[in-house]
Amino acid sequence: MHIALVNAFPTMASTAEVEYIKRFKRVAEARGHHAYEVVTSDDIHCCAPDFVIATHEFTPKLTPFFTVGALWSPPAFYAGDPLRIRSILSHDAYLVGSPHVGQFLDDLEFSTGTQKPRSDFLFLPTAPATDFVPRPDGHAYELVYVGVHWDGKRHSGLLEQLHASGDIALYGPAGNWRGYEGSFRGEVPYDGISMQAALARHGIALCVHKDDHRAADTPSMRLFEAAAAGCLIITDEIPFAGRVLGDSVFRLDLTQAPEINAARVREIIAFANADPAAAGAMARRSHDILKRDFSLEDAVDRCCDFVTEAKEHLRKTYRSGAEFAAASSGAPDAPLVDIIIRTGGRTLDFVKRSLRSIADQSVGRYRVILADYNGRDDVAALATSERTERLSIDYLRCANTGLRSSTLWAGLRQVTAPYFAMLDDDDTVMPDHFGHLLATARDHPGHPLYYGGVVRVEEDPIEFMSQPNFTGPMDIEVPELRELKFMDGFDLIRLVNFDNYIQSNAWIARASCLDDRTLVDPALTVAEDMYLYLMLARFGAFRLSPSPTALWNWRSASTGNSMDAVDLSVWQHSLDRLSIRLNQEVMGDGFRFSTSRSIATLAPAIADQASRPPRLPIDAFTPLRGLVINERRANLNPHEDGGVWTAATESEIELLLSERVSEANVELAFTVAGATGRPQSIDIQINGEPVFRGPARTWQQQHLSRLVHFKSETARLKLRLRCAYTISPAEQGKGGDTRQIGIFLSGILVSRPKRDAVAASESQAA
Amino acid sequence: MSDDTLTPASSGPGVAAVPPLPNQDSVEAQLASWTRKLDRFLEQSDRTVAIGRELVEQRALNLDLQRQIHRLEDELQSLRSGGLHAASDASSSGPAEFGQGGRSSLSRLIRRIFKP
Repeated sequence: MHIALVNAFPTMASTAEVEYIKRFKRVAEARGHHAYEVVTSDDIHCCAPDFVIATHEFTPKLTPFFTVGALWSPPAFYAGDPLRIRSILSHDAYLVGSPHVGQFLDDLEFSTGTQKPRSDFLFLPTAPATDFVPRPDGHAYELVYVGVHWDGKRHSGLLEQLHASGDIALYGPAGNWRGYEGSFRGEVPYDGISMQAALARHGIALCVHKDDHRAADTPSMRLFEAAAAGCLIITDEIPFAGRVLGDSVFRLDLTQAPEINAARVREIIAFANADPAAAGAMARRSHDILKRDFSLEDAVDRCCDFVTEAKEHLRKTYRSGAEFAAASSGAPDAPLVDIIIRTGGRTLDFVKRSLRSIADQSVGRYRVILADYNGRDDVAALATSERTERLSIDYLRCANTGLRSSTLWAGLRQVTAPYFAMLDDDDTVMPDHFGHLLATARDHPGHPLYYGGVVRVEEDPIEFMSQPNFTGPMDIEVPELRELKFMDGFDLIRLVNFDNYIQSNAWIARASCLDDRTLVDPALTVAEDMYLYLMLARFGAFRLSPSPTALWNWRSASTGNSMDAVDLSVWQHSLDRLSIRLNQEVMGDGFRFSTSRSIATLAPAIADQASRPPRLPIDAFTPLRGLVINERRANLNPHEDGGVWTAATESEIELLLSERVSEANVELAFTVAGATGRPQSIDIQINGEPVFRGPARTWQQQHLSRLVHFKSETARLKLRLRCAYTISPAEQGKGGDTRQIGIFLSGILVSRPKRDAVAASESQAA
Repeated sequence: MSDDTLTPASSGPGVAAVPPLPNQDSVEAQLASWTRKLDRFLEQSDRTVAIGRELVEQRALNLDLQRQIHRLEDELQSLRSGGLHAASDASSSGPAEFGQGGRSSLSRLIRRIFKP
């Protein structure tokens, strides 16, 4: 099989996910499969895999390829994050890491009324099966701990104790182990091989987990690779270790004081060196248990089997959904869904692409009502040439009234299938789109409309999607062109508030709801889809099917998007008319439309979780508040009115510019904190290019202006601010502010350079 | 298949239009032509997938190199900025300079070279 594994953190050099992907690739290929490390949805399209493994919950399903989510992190990490929850819901199936995670999934799926396939085995970051290699005679046992140490606080007490007594060798990224000089031995390449060699060199591996990992019983990768390396394992009270490894490992109670655990660890090291045979026997037992029950080879096989079964299960589900709809369609060969495509203004290639996405549906028969408001002969001809055995196309000549609703309602009056849908002539749907919606309609009868999620596709690749997991220390722009745009549960309050989170090509609705009243054309210039939703909402709540199968093709640079030219006043006028028309209608929840709107004004505004991050304007001096896209990881104190203080000696701030630039004048206004009588130094880099380095005046506002040449055109600005030390004003006797502060950044100005300035700068560089 | 051969012959009023049977050689020739086109299409499709996969492999290798470069740069910077960390030590005195690792960095490097 061809398997794509998504590296969700392409801008980070060392992650457990990359280490796992490397191992998985090696093992899978030894077993006749092909595995690929992929980053973007374009990568996935390029390698056309049999399935995709999203190794982290940051990665949603963005392609038609079967996507299985690896849920091996504690739910505490993502349960409160709507973006990650939506991403998890978008997956086709799940590889579950612990019963606790399974319980979380139960709760999540209960809320959506779905039940996607999930593994009946524990999917964990396991290691390849190896032969046990006894520790050579005369080689002393030493303690080793390998960690990215990304939060900087994990077990710091224990590690500090062991570091202070010189009883531990530490590996990981150099920058994350500052303060552990002497114990720190360097970084192990995350290449799928070196880790085990590093562990084996020392003989005793410390494999401890965060509280969240222990609570969720999701063991880390280290446990498996330590066993594979033939190490004697010292772990903690994670239930997995007790249940699976029993007395083949030592377990620390991390609720005890670090001094007690450090003493216990020293005892274990002494025991191993005093009785290497006994230590070796324990290491062999844990090695054999994990090799027998949790080898990566076994995981690859089970994973492939699971996906094969899950895909077949979904195929059957979609087929039975289509059969169920067919039973109510009247004739065995009749269309299940009538899809209205309004056209007339776009080139045929767009329309053809839309039609073919329907022709490519995996199950069912469909009819397109091609409503042409311009009477084009080429469109009429297309209606004939694009027909297939399972797709009939009826050409419908409509009057060009300038009203978007008139064309739509002309199509609605032609509906004869049990369900109907819409598709804009530049949008498309994935092959399982109607299958999963019909299956949802079968499983949840009684709703007027069923809708799925939407993937926005940027068709003008001038700007890439911004995701929180794409910010990191490596200066890489991730060329992601797709994002999971809409996939929210039904909320009538949002709808009556004109918050359109249900895209026009994401749903099917029951034709039985097209009563005489609904079929009256509202004669709206815009907002006609919203009007239709609200008319349908009189029949009851809509139902979300959490699979993103509708594609919203968007062109940021072109003007061909249908809504580009619509003036705001036109929108307002249409919405005002809509409100008047619907005023007396009783919605599915029993409230009148106008009452529901009154309630909506009481509800707090719901932020669009997938909205674009704010951007730094060009040519305007701007404070940073609200613009930092990596706020959580930027090492900043809370923003103040006049700017923001860095909170550590090193801070990396990422901003998105309103335009892409290849060179720019960057001007910073800043103040540096310092202690009396103690020199201060700073180092400022912009996108990896040093702009200032050296001694700094303290407590005086300074301006720095530099022409920056970027490696390639980019809209992403990375400011790296370093200072020799931070201070706490309170400790310096300057008020009660106990924060650690380093550099105060008041604002930033990015401007396009004048051509003469560029020439002068280049000639100086030469 | 060309429509020409299937175009019904015109027939007089009241006479049923019976399309002429195509000649067998012509059918075989057209079949062979279509088979070749289909083969070429499939080969092209396979080739597209193969190139796509190769592209993804190369992108992954490229990313791997970037990771390695970043790690090495980070390590180098960490060694060079010994002065920076020394300056954050309360006991240190004198100006903190960037790019001057000094003795402590060198001794750490030597220790790392000789210690596994």
